[in-house]
Amino acid sequence: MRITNKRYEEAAVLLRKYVRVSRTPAPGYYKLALVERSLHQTEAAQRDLSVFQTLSKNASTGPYPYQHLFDYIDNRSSLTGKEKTQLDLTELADEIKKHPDQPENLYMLAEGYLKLGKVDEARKAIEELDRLSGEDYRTETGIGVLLARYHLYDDAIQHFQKAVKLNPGSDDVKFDLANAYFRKGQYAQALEVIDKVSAAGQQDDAYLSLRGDIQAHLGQTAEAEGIFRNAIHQNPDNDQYYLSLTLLQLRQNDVSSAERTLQEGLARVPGSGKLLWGQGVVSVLEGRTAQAAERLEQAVDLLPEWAGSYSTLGVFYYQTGQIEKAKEVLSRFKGSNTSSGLDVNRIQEALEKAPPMPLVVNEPMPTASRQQLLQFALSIADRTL
Amino acid sequence: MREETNTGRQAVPNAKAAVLLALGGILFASLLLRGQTRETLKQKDNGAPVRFVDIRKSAGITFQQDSTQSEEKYYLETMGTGVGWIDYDQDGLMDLFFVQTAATDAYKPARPLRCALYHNNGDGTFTDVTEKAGLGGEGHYGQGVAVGDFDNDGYPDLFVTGYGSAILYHNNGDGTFTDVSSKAGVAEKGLWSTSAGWFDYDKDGWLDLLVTNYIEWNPQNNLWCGEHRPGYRSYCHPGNYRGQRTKLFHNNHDGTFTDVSDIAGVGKPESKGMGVVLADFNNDGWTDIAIANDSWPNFLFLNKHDGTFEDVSLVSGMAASEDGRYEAGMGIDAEDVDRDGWLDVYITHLDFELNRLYHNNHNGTFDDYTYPSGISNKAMMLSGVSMKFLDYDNDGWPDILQANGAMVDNVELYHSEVSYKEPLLMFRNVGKGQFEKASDSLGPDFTHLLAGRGLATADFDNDGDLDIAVNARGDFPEILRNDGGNANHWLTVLLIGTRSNRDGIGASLKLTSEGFVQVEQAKGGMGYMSASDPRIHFGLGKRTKIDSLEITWPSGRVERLANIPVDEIVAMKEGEGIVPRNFPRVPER
Repeated sequence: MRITNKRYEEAAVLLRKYVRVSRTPAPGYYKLALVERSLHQTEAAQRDLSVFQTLSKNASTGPYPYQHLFDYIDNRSSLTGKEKTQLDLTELADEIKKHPDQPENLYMLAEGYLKLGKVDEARKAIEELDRLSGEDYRTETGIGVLLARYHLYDDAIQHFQKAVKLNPGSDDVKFDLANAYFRKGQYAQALEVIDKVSAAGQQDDAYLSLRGDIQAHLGQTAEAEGIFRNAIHQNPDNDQYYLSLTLLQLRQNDVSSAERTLQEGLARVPGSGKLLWGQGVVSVLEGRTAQAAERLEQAVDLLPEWAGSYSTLGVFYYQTGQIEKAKEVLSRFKGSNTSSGLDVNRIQEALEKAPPMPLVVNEPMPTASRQQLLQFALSIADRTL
Repeated sequence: MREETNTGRQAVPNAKAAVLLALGGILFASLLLRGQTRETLKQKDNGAPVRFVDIRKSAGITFQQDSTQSEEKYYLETMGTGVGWIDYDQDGLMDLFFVQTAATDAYKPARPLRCALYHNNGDGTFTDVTEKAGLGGEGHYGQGVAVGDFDNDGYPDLFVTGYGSAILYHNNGDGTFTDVSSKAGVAEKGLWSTSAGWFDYDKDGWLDLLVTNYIEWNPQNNLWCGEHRPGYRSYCHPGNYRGQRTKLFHNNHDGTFTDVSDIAGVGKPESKGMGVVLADFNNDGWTDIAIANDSWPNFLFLNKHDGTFEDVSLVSGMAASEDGRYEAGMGIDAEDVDRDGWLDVYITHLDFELNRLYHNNHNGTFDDYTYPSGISNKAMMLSGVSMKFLDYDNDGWPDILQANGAMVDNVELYHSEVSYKEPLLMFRNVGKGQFEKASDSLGPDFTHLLAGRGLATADFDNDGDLDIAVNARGDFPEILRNDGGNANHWLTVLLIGTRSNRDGIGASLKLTSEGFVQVEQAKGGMGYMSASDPRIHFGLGKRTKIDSLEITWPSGRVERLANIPVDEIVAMKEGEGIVPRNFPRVPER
């Protein structure tokens, strides 16, 4: 829409975010390049077109990855996720041998290693990537985002800091750095960085949301609440603001306010998985166990791409003694397309060895269990929502 | 449970935002389209009621394209062949040439396969003169045709592309042709040439030749594609094969050519060329090159005026769809659809892709205007193969004609929504580059189902409206006579270069009629493996007076002419203005 309306500056900002989070960023790079072209940013356009060409596997300089499309797809479909990643890594390693100067391949190699949990190998690939393209702030930002995605916040922060040095004017990089500090629990540093975002950048939804969360964790609850209420007023259809305010209220043990906030949010955004998840947590706290199960199940249905929804539901079933259901949630998670994350084997092992727990289905959970689940939910939300 | 991995603070909202961004684009475009349709309906000129009538049988045309289809599913069987209009005997009537295939290892036809040249008798009938002309090309697996007078002798010559080699036929001026491929150095041995176009890229007054080549396929590397059960074997995707190089041949003025592809900068290591249009896209007076590639970035080479070209394909915005996908580009043509004086480009693609209109931004770049122009996804289920701009109703706005037909003959087994044989498609320009589908109003012959491949337009009956020839895969062709287009006024111009190349290719024509300005160019290539009427056709709508016609010849000479008649075909000779020439009108039968 921004492009159609010729609001190219805004389109570029959105597209830059998009290419960082998308699993298939090639089209985004192409659109970004054409937007940059319209803004007469020729150098940037050429650079992003090069990235696009690399990502879209323009075989002008490289070998064909396969000679028979259908066999290739058939073979690949029979592999497990892990095997696919391993195959990708092998192909990438071959490609890097032939074309050692293509940063994009090294980036994908690092990502593959991280998917397989091979952090040291990933770091080596990143070192090599730094050597090739470490003076480009976008490379550094990309590496930071990748590392943050795998919880390697210390590493991520180093790369974001370098990116800020290379491009001190970029609000996006400052946001990423502040976000990494926040994830790591270094709230004061996060606030210090986010304060440096430009006035224009401070109007951004994501900025407001992060700033509110940071201030909430620094005990500046009144300021944080003001930010969220103002954000809701400005944009009443954004469920994230209602959830952020709810979490703030839950941290203050103000469960009834939290419930009101969620109801207000659901009146505006009835199909919000996040808000239903919040309602599930509130239902647990208020002792409505059956309703909690219903809400948390709905949240999984509506947010199948968020590992946190499975985690909360699994913990809930575990705490209510419904081990088989917890195992079934784990199995659903394994069958979903949700990108990594959970140490599935370890969870499976823990569930197998779980001691018998008293079955709680319709009656309230014990107070200690409720508080445990609340802390778990807050922690999940802080790290992943 | 332990949460090991974080998908990032913004992961969920951003993923959602990305989807919304994409969806939002489509929704917004739809809304825009609705608004524009209302707007443009108001602008709609008085379109003449037009019917297209297939006169093949009554014209005596018996040529039948042979697809050489076999159980082996050889890739080249999918392609079909081209068709070309050529006034080979310079009698003022457009004659017709059909390209034919040949026997393969897997297919032995009952009778020899030959190309066919039909002489236009001027009475609505055609006579097969192939044998006398020497244009049968038996044994040559033909693909496309390009018509141009490469030796400036006043008689148009033929270049026939093909699998394994190409043939350049010199027109001897007496109804016969001579194969001069080897001597000329354009035989393209071992290559699979598809489309070709003539143009004078260095303005030396002689036509040069641009040839698009396709892929490194041969019977030995033919793959099995599709499901392994009876009837389901399918043709493969071009992604399985390496592409070939585009070739540019410079005319040495002595009947020979020099391969300058690399020196000129157009011989990229790979291309998968299907269609080409040679025209001036940046209005600098020099002819540029646009090539539709199949599942490969389309090319746009801008002429640098020194014998070389600059590859601006990617940054031009024409290499890929607006969402960055390399689509199955086949047919291509250029025309100023919104009458802003700059050529826009249309490229056809397979079903489930879009047939795209690229709007010229006046700076060497293009924006994808498929949705804003109203074309949107209206032809998404059609496999667009060939296309040509033409003003079929003479309202002054160029329309889009597209020949369709799936590449895979058993496509219905795989997709219930599409079919192998498909109707032609006409997008009528209702003004200022806004299009609406008009196929259904053009008569039953127009919407007859066929596996359309080559397509070319010409006013073969010299009645002032443009007719159509379609070469269908494995079938008889269609010769669609335009009935009713000449209810609006028109002017057709035959260019005769003197200092410039004899065909005047590269000339720009600016016509002003009662304040309405149209700019046309004499272009090379166009469409898919086919050659259209070289005469420049202007629709004038209800306007009855031409204020001026300004011709900028490739030589640089500019001629401004007044007192131009309407509803006539005129011959314009460089330096002399209108010269006498007979263009006999074919009486209706």
